Amino acid sequence: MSMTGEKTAPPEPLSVKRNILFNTVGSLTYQGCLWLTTVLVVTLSSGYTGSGVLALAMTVGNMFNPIATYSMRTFQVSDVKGTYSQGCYVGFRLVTTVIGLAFIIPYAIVVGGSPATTITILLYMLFKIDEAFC
Amino acid sequence: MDYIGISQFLRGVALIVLFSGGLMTFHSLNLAVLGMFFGGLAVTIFYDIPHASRIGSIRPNIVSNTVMTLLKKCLPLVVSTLLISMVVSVARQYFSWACGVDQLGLYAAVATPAVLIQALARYLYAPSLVPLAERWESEENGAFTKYLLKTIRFMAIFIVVMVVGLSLVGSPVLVRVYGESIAAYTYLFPCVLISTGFIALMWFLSDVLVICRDMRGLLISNIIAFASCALLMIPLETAFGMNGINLVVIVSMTIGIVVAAFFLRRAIVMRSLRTDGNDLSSGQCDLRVSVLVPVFNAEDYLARCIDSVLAQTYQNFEIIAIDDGSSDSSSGMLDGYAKSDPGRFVVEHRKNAGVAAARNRAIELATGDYITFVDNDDYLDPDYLESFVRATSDGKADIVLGGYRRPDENGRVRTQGSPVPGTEWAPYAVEAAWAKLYRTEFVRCGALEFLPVNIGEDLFFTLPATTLSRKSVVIPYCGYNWFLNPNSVSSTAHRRSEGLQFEQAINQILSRMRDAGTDFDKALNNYVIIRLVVWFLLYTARGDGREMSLNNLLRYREWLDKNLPDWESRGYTSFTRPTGDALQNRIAVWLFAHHPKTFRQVLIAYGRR
Repeated sequence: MSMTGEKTAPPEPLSVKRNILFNTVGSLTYQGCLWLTTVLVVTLSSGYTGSGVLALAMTVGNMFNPIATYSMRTFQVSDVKGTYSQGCYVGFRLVTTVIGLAFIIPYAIVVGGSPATTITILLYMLFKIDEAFC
Repeated sequence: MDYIGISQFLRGVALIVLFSGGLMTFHSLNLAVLGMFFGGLAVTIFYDIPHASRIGSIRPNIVSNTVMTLLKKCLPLVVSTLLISMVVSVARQYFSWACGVDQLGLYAAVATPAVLIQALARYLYAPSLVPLAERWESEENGAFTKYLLKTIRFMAIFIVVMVVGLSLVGSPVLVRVYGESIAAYTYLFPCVLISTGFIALMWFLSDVLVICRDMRGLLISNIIAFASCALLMIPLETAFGMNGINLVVIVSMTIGIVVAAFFLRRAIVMRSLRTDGNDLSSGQCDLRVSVLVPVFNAEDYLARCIDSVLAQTYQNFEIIAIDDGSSDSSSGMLDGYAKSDPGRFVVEHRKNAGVAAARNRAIELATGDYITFVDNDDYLDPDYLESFVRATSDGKADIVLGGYRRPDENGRVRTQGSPVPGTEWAPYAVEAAWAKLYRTEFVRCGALEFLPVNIGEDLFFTLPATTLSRKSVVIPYCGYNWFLNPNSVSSTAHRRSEGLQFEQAINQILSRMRDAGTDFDKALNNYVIIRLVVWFLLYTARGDGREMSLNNLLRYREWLDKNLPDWESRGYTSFTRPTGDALQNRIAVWLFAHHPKTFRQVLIAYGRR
């Protein structure tokens, strides 16, 4: 769970260069796969409607993410003095995820327009909840 | 930390396998998305949790105090991040609403690949955040700025290479991936790439502001970016269609980046003032400072005031205390201090003649190279003298100007004011005589003194001083604590103009400034006087009531007509100037000068508050 891994260095810290390499390869693969979903939704179905619905879900998901993670990443990594424990950060994320859902579910219903689109957006939110913890 | 990279890799593979499986098998987008969720969840359960546990306990620990503290502390941060992501999200959501989900689908097909370079830029700079934070925390001056500029250069080069390179290959690749149906839209790609580059830069500057803990700057820059998006979204998307989404993002982010850079520069300047105090030059150490304290019946706060001066990290100073006929134990307290340290203290007891006369007498007695004023119920931060002396350029500056804080009885800071270096208003930002250091010779040669009136006595000293000064140094440092005295606050809440010697004060100030060679053809000097009048009108509006304050409005407009002919046209003609003054003050002066009817209504409304 990188959320906690970010804060405390492993027993043998990696060099910044090696760290960049791992981060880059991993995140590029991840982002590449997310992009592939947008390609597949076009090539494996007819027309661009699926692509549009998925894009809409992604934009709502991108609004949910800052609330659910409470944008703690930079705060956490720059907490070089270790003011808060890892357990505290995990507990805090559970709380903020619930707050995020309270905001985003009504918003998704408004933005979704039709029930079918709203359902897709809400399913996508499940994926984003898990992502908030990685 | 390599766990993060591996976790992301596994997550990517799992989600794409299950997403495509769901789509191919069931032809259902919903089931495909559900597959993504289960793929990610599996990695969380089977890889992330076991590995993160090795580093330390990850058992959630919800402590309500911690939760509330973090919620409060990071609120500007989360609002800011939300606002950045909303620039893109809202621009697209509006487009979908206006042009339909199919059109958004076409745009997204072209735009989403750019997310790759955005993410790549973010992950490339992510490892630089810890070294940046360490340099920010360290005492080593300049190391932070150097590393920051290096990272920005690196990012800029990366973004330019990506934009140019991918623009060249983008069109054929998109057609190959999506088929001919996308060919008509690939023209969007270069703009998409530029907009994502700007987003990455904005992310980075926001992260750096967090490291500097400048939450205010962070919030303001992101609010401005989002506000620009909200304003531009409809006209740009109407005019440019799909490319309008890109233009909205590019313009909003550019504005946000400029504002963030301004705050970042300010944070770095303030930081450098805090950290480069370890090595005062020998010339600076030789500078003796006279701390001038007029004292009148201040037994409750006097010890705090004097002790804060004695506790200064810079010790080359004398204290000149003028006991202005105190009837409480203040006199005895001062004598006690003088007896314990005769070389440092000069105490003079005299009949009560007011604070202006006491300060003027203290100036006569001062033997230091510089003088500074402290009021008897206020107090100084320990590095106050050091910070000011450091800014004197080895004794060349005539005035060094700083800021103040207003703590209440519990030490809670209610307000603070700090001049912004480089702005027009900086030398005037703090009207009081304190929170400044004056070269003694400069004060004596200019015959600077305080005026014994019951309002504006400091301005008679500070305004001509600013005009006469050949070298003024502004420091964004707040180390003067202007105590919010509950007794004096209640007495000023409903101030009436009756009995205040304001007209006498401005007459004298104007003539003193003219003697000091002030050029009133300059807009700023005009503004200083007009603002003073506006301030007085608003200051007394509540106490005076409607009739009296409107009379004063007429009276002081006539005063300006007589003493500063053409003042309306010689001052600033818009509320954008002078830079550095608070917007509400500039608007008030602008309305007073150019829209007197509106100002009249403002004055009436203000008086009713």
